[in-house]
Amino acid sequence: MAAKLIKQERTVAAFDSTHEALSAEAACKAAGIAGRLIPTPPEIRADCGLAWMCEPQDEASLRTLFDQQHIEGHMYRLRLWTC
Amino acid sequence: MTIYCNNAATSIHKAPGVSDAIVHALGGYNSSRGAGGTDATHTLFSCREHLAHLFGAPDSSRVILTSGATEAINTALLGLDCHIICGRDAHNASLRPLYHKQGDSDASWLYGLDAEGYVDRASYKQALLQKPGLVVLTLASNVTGIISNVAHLAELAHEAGAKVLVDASQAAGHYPIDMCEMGIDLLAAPGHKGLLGPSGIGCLIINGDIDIAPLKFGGTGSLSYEHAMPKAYPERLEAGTPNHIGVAGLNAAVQYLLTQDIQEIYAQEAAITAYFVRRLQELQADATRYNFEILGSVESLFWEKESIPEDAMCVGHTGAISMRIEEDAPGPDVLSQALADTYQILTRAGLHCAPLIHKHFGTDSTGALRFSFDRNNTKDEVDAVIVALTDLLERR
Repeated sequence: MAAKLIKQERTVAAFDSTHEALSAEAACKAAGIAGRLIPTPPEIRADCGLAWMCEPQDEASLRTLFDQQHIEGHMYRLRLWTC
Repeated sequence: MTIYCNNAATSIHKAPGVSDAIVHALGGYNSSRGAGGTDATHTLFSCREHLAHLFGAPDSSRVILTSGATEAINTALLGLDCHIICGRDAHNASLRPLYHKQGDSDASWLYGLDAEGYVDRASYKQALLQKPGLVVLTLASNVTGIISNVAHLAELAHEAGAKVLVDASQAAGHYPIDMCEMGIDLLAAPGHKGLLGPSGIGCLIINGDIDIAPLKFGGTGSLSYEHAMPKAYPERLEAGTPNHIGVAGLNAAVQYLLTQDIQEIYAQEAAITAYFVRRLQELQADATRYNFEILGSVESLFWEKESIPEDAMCVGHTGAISMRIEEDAPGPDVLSQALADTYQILTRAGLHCAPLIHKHFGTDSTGALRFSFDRNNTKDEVDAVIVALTDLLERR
């Protein structure tokens, strides 16, 4: 069961409220965009909150979805520790 | 199986009888005020009586039932017309109402902490020279777990002419509290942590003649022709239909705690936390792992109660242990997520809504990883946490 953490490139969308993050999660699930909620990485902001993390190849779909559904997400490309 | 190490946020094991009391309350309570003789009315009374008993408060009519500690603290801070000082170990439940009330241009109303994470005696005494009407004390930090010597700090505050509000969120149910013995004028506590009740319920307890202006206005089931809120507590500070479901759960929880020896609960939690600290220290010595550091002193986990001087700044330690992680290592947020996903170990990373203590320790840009134990945690669980951390902190 041992976990190995490695750094990988990911797209991360950060939000100004937990409600907006959960709206994004619901929209992504409905649209079939794979990803997950994570604590907002300190590289983006250190004061907590939730962010949506997905594979970089899904970033364009994510931007389109957010535009269509008026979701306010701030997009970043980061190298993050992941399992 | 899940290993729950997030009791500082919410206790996972509720007291026996809480679920049944909530189900009973859902099944036909009359929730209106003033409908004499209902279950709901009696449960409200009973809950106030039990809370007063648990915390050594002399008058149960001054037990104000709130939505939690945050509302309790807001009620006190915004309802008192005086200058207030507060420590850098405080939670945002205290800090944000004070920024709102007193401004944050220089935050001269904040007293500091020392290198151990204890209230800094000189800074505290300096702040008392401001002649505050109220001093906010955090009984136990939700980041370091350090339990402050509230009895001593309250004595100093009273000598300076100030009343004392104690945020007991992290200590209530974990550490013995007697408002009269400890000199506590106002006490705020949530139902869902150490009191082992549901969330959405808590209390503000007023010890003595303190006039707090209401934060909310509305029906109280009494003096309905009056335009103003009643002068008498608890109605003065409780407008609207009470949270009877939460009150029923909290009442059952406090009844249970009254059958327990809180000092024994404290001793059990200190023992399991001390075991965790010893295991962490072994891991710290392993050069093949990333470095980490525990925030604040953990010495008090190993103290005998009788050996603590009366004027010590610290009198104990809760089950909360927070770690700063070496810069190149996976951060607290990543570790917390990996612990949950891979090992089913639940922790809390980030700033813990206590930004100033993180600034004090220099963890404001990264946050920290917090484990918080209660007496239900076992040595086997601690061992499993150490195995997981050993995996995750392997240098790469």
